[in-house]
Parts: sequence; C-alpha cells; structure tokens
Amino acid sequence: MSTLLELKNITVHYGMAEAVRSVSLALAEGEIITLIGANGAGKSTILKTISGVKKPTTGEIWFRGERIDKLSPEKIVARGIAHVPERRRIFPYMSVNDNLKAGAYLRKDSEIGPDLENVFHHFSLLKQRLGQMAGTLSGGEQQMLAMARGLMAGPSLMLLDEPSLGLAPLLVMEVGNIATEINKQGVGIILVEQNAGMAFRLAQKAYVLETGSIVLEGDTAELLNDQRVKEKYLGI
Amino acid sequence: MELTFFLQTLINGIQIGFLYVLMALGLTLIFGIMHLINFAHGQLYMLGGFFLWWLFAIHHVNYVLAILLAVIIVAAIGFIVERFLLRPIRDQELYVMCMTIALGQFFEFGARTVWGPLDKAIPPIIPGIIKFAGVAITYKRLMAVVVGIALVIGLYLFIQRTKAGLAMRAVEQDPEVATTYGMGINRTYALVFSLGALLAAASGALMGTIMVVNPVMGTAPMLKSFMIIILGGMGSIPGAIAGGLIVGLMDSFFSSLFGIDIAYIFVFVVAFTFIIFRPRGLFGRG
Repeated sequence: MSTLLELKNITVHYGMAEAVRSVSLALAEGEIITLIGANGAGKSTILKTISGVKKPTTGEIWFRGERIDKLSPEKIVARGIAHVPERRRIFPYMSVNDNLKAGAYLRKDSEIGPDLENVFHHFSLLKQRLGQMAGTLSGGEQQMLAMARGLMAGPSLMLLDEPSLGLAPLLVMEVGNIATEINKQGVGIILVEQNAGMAFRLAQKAYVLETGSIVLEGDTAELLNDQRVKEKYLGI
Repeated sequence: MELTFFLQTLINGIQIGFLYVLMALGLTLIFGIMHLINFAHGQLYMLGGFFLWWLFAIHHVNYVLAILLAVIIVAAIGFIVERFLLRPIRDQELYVMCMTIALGQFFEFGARTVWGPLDKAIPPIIPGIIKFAGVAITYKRLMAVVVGIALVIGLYLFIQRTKAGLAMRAVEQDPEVATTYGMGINRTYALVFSLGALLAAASGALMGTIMVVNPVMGTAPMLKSFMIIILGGMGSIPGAIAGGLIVGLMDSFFSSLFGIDIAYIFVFVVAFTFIIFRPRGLFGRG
C-alpha cells in the first residue's frame, strides 16, 4: 500500500509554548489510524496542523507525494483532506442543507449530487432534516452532520477529532460503524480519541501521545496487550 | 391626531426608515462578520451622496447610471480600505477603530476641500407629487423607498442563495472551520466591507436626492445607525431592518409632535435603555 500522509518531525508552538514535539507518523491509503492520549497531549493540534489551521514550527507534512505544510487550509482541503473538528462545530444558524453545501464549498455543483446521495446513505436521518436549523439538532445528530459536512468535501483523508465526545454509548457505536463504512469506500481516517476502546476497535494502527510526544506506537492488535496501554487508556 | 396627518407621518417615517435600514444593514454586516465597528460609515454614506451629485448634477450622467456608478465607486473605496488599511492591523481592535475614525475625518475634510462646505441640491429626476386620500408623497421619496426595498431584497437573496453569501454566513459563525472548508477569510472580509460601503453609499445617494448633500451629512445618520443596530441586535439583519423602520417612524412621529430635537434625543434614550435592559436587542443571538 502506498503512503497517503506522512508527518516528519513535526513540532508546533502556541506562542512560546510547545504543544507538539517532533512527531512523525504515517498513514497508508485507505487505512485508519488513531491518536490517543489525555487532554492537552497535542492530538487536536496535530490535526489542526495537518489541515493547515496551525503552522508547524519545524518539520514536514507530505500528502500523496506533495509537501503541504506551507499551504493554506483552502488549498489543503482542495487536495482532499477534510477536518471534522472537536465538539462538532457545525454552523448552528444555518440549515442542515447549507451546512452540507458549506462542506462542498470548493467543488463544482455537478460533483455534489452523487456525494449528497452517498451522505444520505450513511446518514439517513439528515435527509429528513435538511431544512432544519443545525443548532437545533441533538448532539448525536450534530456529530453526524459534522461528519457528513466533511464527507461533502470529497476527501481521501478524514480527520475525526473526538467524534464520540458527549455521546451516549449506542451513538458512539453508530458513529464508529459509519466511520468504518466511510473507510471501506477508500477514505483514510485519522481518529483522535480519548475513548480508546472505540479507537482500538476501528483503527489498524495507534499512536499514544503524552505532553506533545509520541510515547508508544504500533498495531492496535499488539498494543491491546501492552500493559501500559491497558492500565492507562483502556482501564483494564 | 387627524387621520390624514397620521398617514402622512407614517409614510414619511417608512420612507426615512428604509434609508436608515440600508445604512444600518451595512454597519451590522461589517460588525457581525468582521467584528469591526466602522466609524467611517457616515462618511461613506456622504461620499455616495457627493458622487451622485457630481455625476448627475455636474456631469449630467444618466440618473440610473449615476446612482450605479456612485455606489460602485464607494464600494471600490471600501475594497481598497479593507485591503490596504484594515487587513494589516486586523487583530488589533483598538488600531482598527482608530483607523476608521481617521478615515472618516479624511473623507469628510477631503470632500470639504474638493467640493466645499456648502449644501448641494440634486435636482429631482421626476418632479411632482402623488396624492392619495389626502396624503402626499413626492416621486423622489417614493423612488427612494422602492430602491431601498429592492436593495434589501437583493441583499437577502445574495446572502441566502449565492455561494459568496454562504461563505459570509459560515465565516460569521465559525471562521476557523469555514477556512478548513475552503472559504477564504480575506476574500470574505473584502466582500463584506465593500458591500457595507455600497449600502451606506446607496443610502446617502438616495437621501441626497431627498434632502441636500454636504460633507457632514453622514454624522447624525451614522450615530443613529449605531443605535438602530443596538435596538435590532448587533450583527442581525432582521434586526437592522426592524430597527431602521422603528427609528424612522420614531423620527417622523416625534418630530411632528415634539420637534426634531426631542425626536433625536429619544432615539438615544431608547438605545441606552436597550443597552442596559436588553443588550442583545430585538433579534440578537444573545
């Protein structure tokens, strides 16, 4: 399998404070990897750096053989990376339909039709809510909408930042299942989670972050047997 | 109050109200999306009036074309101001505020230097009056209302139906997420500031046809527009429309009943009452 995305020694600062220190990771086409770690470990910052919202202080990011760490967020999404941010951050005063259109902002109208069908296939409940104001959806529905908006960008890589946050266990399952379905259509996924149980179920590879650095990495099947991971992140 | 007097006052209020609506819409768009209080708004309004006078009364450009050109010139000025004077200092609110104050004075005294301090009249394109049930309205006032309503509807459709309008709404609600989906902040801000300038200029040009044009004509309407968007809710489009009409009607009724000074004071009394007791206004998002 060819490499979809690669981070080489990425370091990111907020002002003087170092949020991410020399992180390297790689993702193959169509793969799911997960970044786990406590609050403030730098997981969200890594996603923001990939989507171009934050610029790295040092290091390189390569996507399909092209260096993208100097590009604007606009150019990065155009190349096929969709960022589904933490706490959903749908546009609350816009209709569901307009949120989906916002996801497809850079694409031609002719490309959107089939994608909309695909979105309704994954998120059937959104079809009945198209005219509804997005801020009035339930938490679970908002998470679905945030993922659907990301899908409308036509990505080959989706960055999912804590999609399980604040959701009931049944909805966490559903979000996980939908992520798997999307992945089966060939979309690579980087999943950031505090809910390591869900993350390990979905991902092939995991990176464990502590205070901005990767402290452990490997196949999820192996890491499941690692004593530190068991105690710290899986609670078993 | 007699019925005809009441109707006449009502019609005058609605007519002046629509010009306030245009001005307040520009101000509220700029505030809501760019989080910027534009203290040069009154002078952009004034420039709209002067460019119409200059094109139509001095150079005899076709009236409709003259209005179009006047608002386009002011929109272009807005574009240049945003690009070269506001964008470099965007994150420093105090500097931005001082910059807009400085620009306002530059435009006001620039206009005074070029065109002089005296009132200029824009001759009416269609002279005459319509009378209906004892109520009179001049054609120029009627035209101001029609153009005002058309612009409000046009703006609404632009914001709700076009891709640029979608970007404006998205950037307003969450600029960071909007950029990750390809909506450029710079492009959106340039559009919003130009559009705000255009609306101010349209209001000033139409007011210039009804009253007169002079370098200080924008000050009072700008201050009232600030109060209008407080009344309606800062950043709210329905709020600017409702607030503009309410203030227009208040102007008209209170100046008929108590004189223009009391009417002017009353607007500000309403505004500080709202600031204390309902700061999000009629339609604000709290």
